[in-house]
Amino acid sequence: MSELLLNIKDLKVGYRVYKGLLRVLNGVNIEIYKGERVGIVGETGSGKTTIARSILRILPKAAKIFDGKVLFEDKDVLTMSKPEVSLLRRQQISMIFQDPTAALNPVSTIGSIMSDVIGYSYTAEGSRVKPSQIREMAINALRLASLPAPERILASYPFQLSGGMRQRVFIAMALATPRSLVIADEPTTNLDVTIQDQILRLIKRLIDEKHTSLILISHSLDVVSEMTDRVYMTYGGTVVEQANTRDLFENPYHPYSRALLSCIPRLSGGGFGSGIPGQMVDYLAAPRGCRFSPRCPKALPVCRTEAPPLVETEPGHKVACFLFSEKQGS
Amino acid sequence: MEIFLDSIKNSIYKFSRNKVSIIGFFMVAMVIIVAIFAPLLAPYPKAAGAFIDFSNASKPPSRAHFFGTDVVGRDILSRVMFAFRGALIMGLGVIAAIVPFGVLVGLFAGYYYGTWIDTVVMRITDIFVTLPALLLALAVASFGRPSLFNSMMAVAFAWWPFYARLTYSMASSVRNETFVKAAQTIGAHKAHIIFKEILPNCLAPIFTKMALEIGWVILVGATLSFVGLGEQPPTAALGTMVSDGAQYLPAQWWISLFPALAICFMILAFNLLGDGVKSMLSTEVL
Repeated sequence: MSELLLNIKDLKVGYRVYKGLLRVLNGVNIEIYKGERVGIVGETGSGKTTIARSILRILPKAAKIFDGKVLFEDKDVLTMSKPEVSLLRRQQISMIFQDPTAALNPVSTIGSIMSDVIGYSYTAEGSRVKPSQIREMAINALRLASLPAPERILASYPFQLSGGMRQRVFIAMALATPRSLVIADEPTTNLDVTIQDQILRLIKRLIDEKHTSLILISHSLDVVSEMTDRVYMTYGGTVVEQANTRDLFENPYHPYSRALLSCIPRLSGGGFGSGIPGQMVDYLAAPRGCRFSPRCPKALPVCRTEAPPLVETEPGHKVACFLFSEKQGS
Repeated sequence: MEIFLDSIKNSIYKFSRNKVSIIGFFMVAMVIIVAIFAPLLAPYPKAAGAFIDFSNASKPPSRAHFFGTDVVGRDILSRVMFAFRGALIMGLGVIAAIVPFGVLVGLFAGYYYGTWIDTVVMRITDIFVTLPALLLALAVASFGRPSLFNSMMAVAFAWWPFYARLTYSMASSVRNETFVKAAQTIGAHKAHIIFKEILPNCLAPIFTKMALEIGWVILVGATLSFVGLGEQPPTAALGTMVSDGAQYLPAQWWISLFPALAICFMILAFNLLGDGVKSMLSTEVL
């Protein structure tokens, strides 16, 4: 396999709130290789966005990182100095936000926002973008993102564009200068289905053309299955299963993955899936063992007391569940 | 460029949707023109200073003196015209001085919302709010001789905290917007975030407040000169003229009435203009 780009090791992040400490991420391990498209799937509140924000260190003030490392090209992002982090943000990683309307400053023109973004960035040769090139680069980026009449778009304000156009603008900005990693945090949640499809195709095309790695965060299983090479299934701030996308969708091991996949309504009928009984983890009093154990139909006594280790059931396919660690005889 | 022109046209259109604000605009324009060209427009320019003509003292309004004359025979119309100058300097000068300062203070405190910087800066601001303008003016006046400048200082001291608070409340909510987060993810520095992302989103209410408050500042300035803390005689000041004439009420009513009406006129003018600015800056489609 190619070179390792990002390696999240045993990341534990919590939030201090008035009721106490929310222990959200509980030892997350994620590896991203160069040029790879990786999906992080999970329900609302499973800590997907916290993972993304830890990578860029834009967690809110109440957040606290207890433990773990976020190694980007073998350097720990979490212990970097501020100038190093800002260099990382300007040069290496960019992020596509969930809501492009909120993420574009309503009082600035697209042109002024884009020239800020590009002006802060670096070229492939590693030098700062010259002010004289900014406009041309912005127009090129918009054109690559299939936006008609780029000059007109540069002069308009975010509210003058439609939702899909705004997200295209955002993608254009994220990929206007060379990046090694793009984090897309539910990029299509606020768009309607036809636009969603176009936006995903666009992201996929640009990512492939520029040999960039992608982290796609989504709660939508079909989006992830179409877009990614590998998938991390998260539940309650832990990675429960990781595998190649096809393996995971065709042959899920973890009871949570199985339950979630069976929830997708099928065109062939049969109504809705049975769903998963119970509620999302209460991070204030998270279960001591496996976080899925209170809802798990196959929970063993050991599940309630110990956190299951991640075991490899097939090459590249890892599951955090005692059901499988026993099978291996360990 | 075309879009820039469009937005100006759009602003003018929105401003003029409110017909009364056009009247306000012309009233303000008139006050400013009269103030600037007072020596040319005033029928008796000498009346502005130390001038005595007892043969004309306390004359009621007539064709020669539209607003009558005061106890020492000075033409009141001319004095009102000259007094516009002090009032305008008061209103515009104070606002021009306190808005940038108050906005800066509010922006920084808002950006550092929740930290000790926020607490220290905003509590100092609160201390200034608790001191009434008149009391401050008395204090400032007791330090030096009362003058227009000192009364402006006094009003400015008492007034800037309101801009700091307004900007603070705007900035502390705007800083949580996703576009500020997005700016951080591109590696923008603090100055960029404060001045390019947060500040522009706070401007509309600040401008509206400014436009509406010029008249209010003029009124406080007139109050200060009414109690003798503003522009000193013989220079014409609207408040002083009203208080001087008050002793001769009701028989020689014109001595205080016309300066008082002039104050009303100015405040009305700026308030109507302010309303226009408000509708110009609102995003609401009328």
